[in-house]
Amino acid sequence: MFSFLHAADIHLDSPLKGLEGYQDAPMEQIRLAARRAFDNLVQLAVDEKVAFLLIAGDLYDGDWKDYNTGIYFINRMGRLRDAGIPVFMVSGNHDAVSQITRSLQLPANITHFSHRHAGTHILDHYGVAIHGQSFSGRSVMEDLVRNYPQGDSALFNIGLLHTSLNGRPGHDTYAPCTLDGLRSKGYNYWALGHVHQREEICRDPWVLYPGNIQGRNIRETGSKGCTLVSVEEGAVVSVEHRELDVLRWATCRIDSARSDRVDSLLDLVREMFQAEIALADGRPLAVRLVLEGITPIHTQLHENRVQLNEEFRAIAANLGDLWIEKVMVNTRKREEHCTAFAADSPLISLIQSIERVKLDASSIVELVPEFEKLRSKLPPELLSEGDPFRPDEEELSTLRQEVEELLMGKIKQRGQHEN
Amino acid sequence: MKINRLELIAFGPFSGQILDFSSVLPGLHIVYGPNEAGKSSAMRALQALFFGFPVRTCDNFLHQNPQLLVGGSLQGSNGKELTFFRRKRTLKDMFDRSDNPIEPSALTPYLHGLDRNLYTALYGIDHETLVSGGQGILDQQGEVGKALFAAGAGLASLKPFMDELEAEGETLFRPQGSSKAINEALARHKALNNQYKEAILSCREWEEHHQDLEEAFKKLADLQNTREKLKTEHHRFERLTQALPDLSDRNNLLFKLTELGTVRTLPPRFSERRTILEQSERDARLHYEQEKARSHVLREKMSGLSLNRAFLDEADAIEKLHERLGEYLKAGNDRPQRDGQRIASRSAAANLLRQIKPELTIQEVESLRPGLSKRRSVHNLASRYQALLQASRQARIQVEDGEKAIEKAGIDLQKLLPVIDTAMLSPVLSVAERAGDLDRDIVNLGQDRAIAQRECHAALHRLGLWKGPLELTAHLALPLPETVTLFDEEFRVISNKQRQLNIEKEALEKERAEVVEQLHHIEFATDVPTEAELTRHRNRRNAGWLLLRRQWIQHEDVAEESRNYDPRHPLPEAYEQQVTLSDQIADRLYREADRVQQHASLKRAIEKIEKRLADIGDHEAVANTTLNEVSCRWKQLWCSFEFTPLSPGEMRAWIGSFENLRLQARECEKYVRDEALKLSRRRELKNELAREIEAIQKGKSFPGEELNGILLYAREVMTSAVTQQKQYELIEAKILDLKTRLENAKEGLIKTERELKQWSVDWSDAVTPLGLNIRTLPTEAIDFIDTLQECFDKLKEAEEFRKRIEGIDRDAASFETDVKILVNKIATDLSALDARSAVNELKSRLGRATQEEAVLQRDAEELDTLDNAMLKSEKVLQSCREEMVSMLQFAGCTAREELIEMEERSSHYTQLNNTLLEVERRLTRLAEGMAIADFEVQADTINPDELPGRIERLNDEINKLDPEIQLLSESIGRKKSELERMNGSGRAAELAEDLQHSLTKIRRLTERYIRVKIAAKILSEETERYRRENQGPVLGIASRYFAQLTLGSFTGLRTDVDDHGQMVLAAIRPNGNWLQTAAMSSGTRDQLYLALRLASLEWRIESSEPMPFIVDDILINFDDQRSAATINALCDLAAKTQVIMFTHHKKIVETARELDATGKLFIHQLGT
Repeated sequence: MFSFLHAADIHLDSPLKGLEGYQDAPMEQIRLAARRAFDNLVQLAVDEKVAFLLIAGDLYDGDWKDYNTGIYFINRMGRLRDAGIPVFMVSGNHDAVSQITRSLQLPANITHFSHRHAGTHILDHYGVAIHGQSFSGRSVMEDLVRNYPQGDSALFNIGLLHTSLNGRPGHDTYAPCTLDGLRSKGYNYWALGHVHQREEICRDPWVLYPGNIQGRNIRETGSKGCTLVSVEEGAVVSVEHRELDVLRWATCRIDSARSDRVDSLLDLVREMFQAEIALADGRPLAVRLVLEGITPIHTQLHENRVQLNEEFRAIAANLGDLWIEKVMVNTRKREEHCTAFAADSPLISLIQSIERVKLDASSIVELVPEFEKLRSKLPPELLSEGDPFRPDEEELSTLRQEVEELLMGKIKQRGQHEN
Repeated sequence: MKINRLELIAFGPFSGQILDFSSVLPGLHIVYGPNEAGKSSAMRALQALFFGFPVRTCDNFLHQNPQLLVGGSLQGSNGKELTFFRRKRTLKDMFDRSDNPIEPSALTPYLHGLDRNLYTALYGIDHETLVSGGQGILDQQGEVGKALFAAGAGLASLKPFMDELEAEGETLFRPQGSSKAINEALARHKALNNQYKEAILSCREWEEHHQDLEEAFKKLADLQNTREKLKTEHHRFERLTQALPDLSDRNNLLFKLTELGTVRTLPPRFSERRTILEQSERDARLHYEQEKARSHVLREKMSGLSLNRAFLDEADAIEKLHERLGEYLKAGNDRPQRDGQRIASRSAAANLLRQIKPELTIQEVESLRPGLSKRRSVHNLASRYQALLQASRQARIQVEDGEKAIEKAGIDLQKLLPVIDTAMLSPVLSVAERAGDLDRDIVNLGQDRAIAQRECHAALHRLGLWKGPLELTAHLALPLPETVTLFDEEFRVISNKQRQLNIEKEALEKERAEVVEQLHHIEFATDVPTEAELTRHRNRRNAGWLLLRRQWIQHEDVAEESRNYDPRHPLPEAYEQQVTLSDQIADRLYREADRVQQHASLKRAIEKIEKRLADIGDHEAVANTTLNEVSCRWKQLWCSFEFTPLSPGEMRAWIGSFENLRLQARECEKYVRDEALKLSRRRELKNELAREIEAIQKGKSFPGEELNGILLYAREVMTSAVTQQKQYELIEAKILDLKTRLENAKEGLIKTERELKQWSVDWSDAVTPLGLNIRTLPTEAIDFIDTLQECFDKLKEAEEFRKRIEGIDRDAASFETDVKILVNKIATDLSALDARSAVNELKSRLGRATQEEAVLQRDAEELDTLDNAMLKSEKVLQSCREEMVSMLQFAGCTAREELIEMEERSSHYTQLNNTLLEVERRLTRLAEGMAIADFEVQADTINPDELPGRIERLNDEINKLDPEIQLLSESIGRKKSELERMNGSGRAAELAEDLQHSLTKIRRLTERYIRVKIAAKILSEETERYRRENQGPVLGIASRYFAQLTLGSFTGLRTDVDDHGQMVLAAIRPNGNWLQTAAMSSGTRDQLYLALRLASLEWRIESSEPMPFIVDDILINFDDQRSAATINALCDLAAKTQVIMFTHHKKIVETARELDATGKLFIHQLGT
């Protein structure tokens, strides 16, 4: 009996995205999260005394240039060498373009499969054959599986492959292949990489994406880690997910319909946060708070957004290591404007005018002269990851809603005279 | 809409006050309440009625929250009236007069979905708004757009939040700024980016450093090698320098040793050993002499001593007699005491015997001793006697009790009722019970079915359009959603087309209007000369010239034609004018060519627009035809449903609702089925139960269909049957138990009686030998035996005392005999003395003899020791002599004197040899592994005088190398630490994280900036649009109100352009002068704001339904005349829309009463 670890999409040193530092945010606790998750992987391999470790591609982030990352990786691989654990890896689309991959001298316990042809490495002691082929460049569109050798029925065969299979939502299509193609090779276990969400594709044979080891943005929520596989007499006897992440991402959706006062909404938020903290099992959390539903406090929520954000942050700070990534107020008010009535009232036509704001050639730069000046000063990486001046239809709708609340909120604040 | 009634049932200070606002005309209603009368409460009540109670209210001081209640009656524009009430609740707070809940949507036809804030803004005004509205006009510098917009929106002023938006935009970003939030964030981002780039370690950089370091290591190794070689040479020379003196010493020593020749070397300490040996020999001889003398003295002393041997031989016998003397004396003292005790015991025994058998003497008592052997039997029998008596009594009582209990249980058994047989009822009942609560299920199902059916019908009714029966819904063939979507698409395409055409048409019409206006502008500024005009005038001039020429040169009469040419002027003058006119036109054509050109192009543009408009008309016609055709097909699709379909979008929703309805109908059917099933099951169970009950108990009937009654009864029957059966079994078991016990008791009784008989026989056997008869009671017999036993004990005691006295006498005689025998044996001189004195004398003589024996013994021992010592000394002397002989033999000498010389030669030789060894050891060390001979050869090759110079030179060379190596080592150290810095540090990764934080911040700020700027832009555009569209009519109405409110101080309002080119408001004085807003008094500005508000309201009534206008004490600062004027103005407005004015001021009420406004003005008093 022996066991091995299957990990993928480590993206060493790639930063967490979408967080903005603020006082009381647990900044230090989540520093270098990808490295610390990787440390957890190495520790797990040592603790579990695994026979070997598989890395199914995307060890680095493609455009990451710091050689220190490579040195760090070699250092950790040294620990595995001391513990007598060999490592097998293939390059993914990210690694293929990484300069670090090209320059780094790997220690003897690492086997890095070639990109020219599919290779096989046999571990006689365990009766295991590991087959793999790396990516040669950023974009590999051919079915690599076709090059993989047929499995040797006397051995336990493992296929190490970076692929999007036959397409996975949210992921670029690379090295496409089919489940039937994988089955036809007669392997016992297909260790896949590329898809960041853990997914068990098939159990006979085992085909599995372990997901990435650390969520990097709000789209990568939930537990992250690697897969521990135990093999006995040439058959998989157990497959366990092991958590490695040091920071958990979560989206808290609050139905504000039940709250007729801000206080009770805060209580709901606190409860929701507590529930998420319990799920995260002591890890720091990055939370996106989405307030939804038809609520009588809709206007209050919009008018006091700054103050409310502070309240939410205070709750987070009191509960411990919790970072509020973003607060989205998507609530609606109980009554909609009666636009048909009093259409000649300036307020109604103001709302209509906001609704008419539209994109001109997919940009709103034309609307205000200062916009072009600001846009030209923005860092290019910001524009490339969602230009704020080129919102999509949904963002534009949010924009309209927020402009409306901004104007109407201010006007109503002044229009109110309670006796 | 208008308010007919406001009922303050339980609100603030009110309990049941009613304000009746119903009147033919909408009317102006003044609600007067002095301070504390609740004017403000009444206003809040109106708001609560319209929009519900706020979460926190201050109107619950008299009535508690749950009791708060307001009501009212609203009348819509269509004349329909709604009466409703509100309580303070979060949900379902509206009721009708019978307290049935009303849906909030019932208010929509009256309030049109306006919320509290919007209503207050549009249809409410108070003093504060009025004053700040006046101030707002000043703040906005009378800008027309902002003033109209603010008044239209019910705001005091637009300026504060336009400023606020502007200010927020400014704090966020300025293109040239550096301290603004976004600018700062961008700068920080740039700095971070630089740090990040510095922190990044490129692969190339690492490799270069690595190679550099390796080269430096190699160079260092070379240098160190060279230095080592030099140092070796230096060391060798130094060694040679040190070795030269030793080499010379060695040669000297070797020479001396050769001179000394062959020497027998003696072992070390040879000489010392010889000296010690001689000393030992001397000591041994001395000891021998001393011991010999002492031995002689002792022998002489011992021969002079003699011993009393007879006493010493009998020493044990004397000691024993001395010990027995003590006992002998003590026994003599004890004897009389023992004799007394013997006599006392014997008389006590005689007394005891007299108590029990007076007829016997003490000597005859032994005849009773055999009877004592039965003593244990008597004791046993006595204790058994009581137990047997007790057992016999107990057994008799048990037999009697048992018989009585059996008799009683028999009576109980007879009293019990007969047992019912429920074998058939039990299974039927358990089946019925397992079926559950059928009655409740059936009722619930019935209710659910009724509700579901009602809902189905209601849903069908709500659905509208189709009016068929509910049952048909399942079978209706609805059009496919895809078909509806296709139609929807078609309709959308057509309507898009139409909208596009319309937009284009509107744009073209607008363009045409603008072009026409420009044309008019050109035309009306001055008439535009045209080519045609010039040609016309030139032709006329030429005609004039022809006439003139005919008159002047040809002398023709052209009078008639001249008149025709110009009736007012003579021909030459007319011609002259015509020439001038033509020239002028030509000049102007030349001068104003541009204008002419523009005029012409405008005309052309109009033609083009007209043509395009005609085209659009054609397209519209085509679109309409298509629309009709699609509409026809659409209707046809639905023809089987016998209703006119709505738009496809709506019909899609309708189909959705219809599908829901089908689901509901199916649900409904399921309820009906379930209910029928349960009913039949219930009937079946009831019949079975009734049949079984009839079998047990005839004539019992259970009316009704419910199962519960009969089930309950059956359960009772079952329960009572089970109880009876249990009691019956209980008593029978009890009787059986009692009988068994009675048998046991009887057996016990018989056994006890048998045992008593046996006891009497045993008792007789036991007491007869004691001389007692059988009737003696057990206790008496025991007493007798105890006393007899005591008597025997006393007799035994007396016997023992007698024996002891005999022993004493025997011992004394034996002692005296023993003493006499010994005295006769060893000391006849003592035979006259008594035993006691003789023993004492013997003892003292023995003591003396023992002391003498001890002295003699000690001397004999010392003599033995001396003899041994003498033998030892003789042996030592012998061995010394033998060793000396062997030493002489070893040294090869014959005499002791020869030996001493031999020792001296050996010592000299050894000393020389040792020095040589020392020198050679030093040399070997300096030669460092080389043979001394080789080393000597090396030393011989070198001139000793050159050595210091060579050493100096080598030293210099080494010293030159050292700093070089030092520098290189330092550089390697630096390089290493630089490489160590490249240790896989996460610095760059941390900075990348910081960069992400900074990017997120920039994004957030940018998004906020976008929103703020767009909001500001829209607001300002909307202000301008509102002005453009409403300025004419609203200003017209406002002029009228303003003149009225200012009592004719101003005749109206108009617009003016200020120094900045902005359109501003100006008021017109009766004399035609203008007054800008800045120059007005604050009161006038308040009235201007009021005029604008009233005008906006009146203008809105033109297009929307009028709503009650709520006025809160706005006349506080108005004088009586202006108050009257304002009330008049409000009266005018009240002809079109209801106006409700709340006031605290009696004066205003009085002013109003003086006005002639019957039927239009109503006054309501609060708190009366």
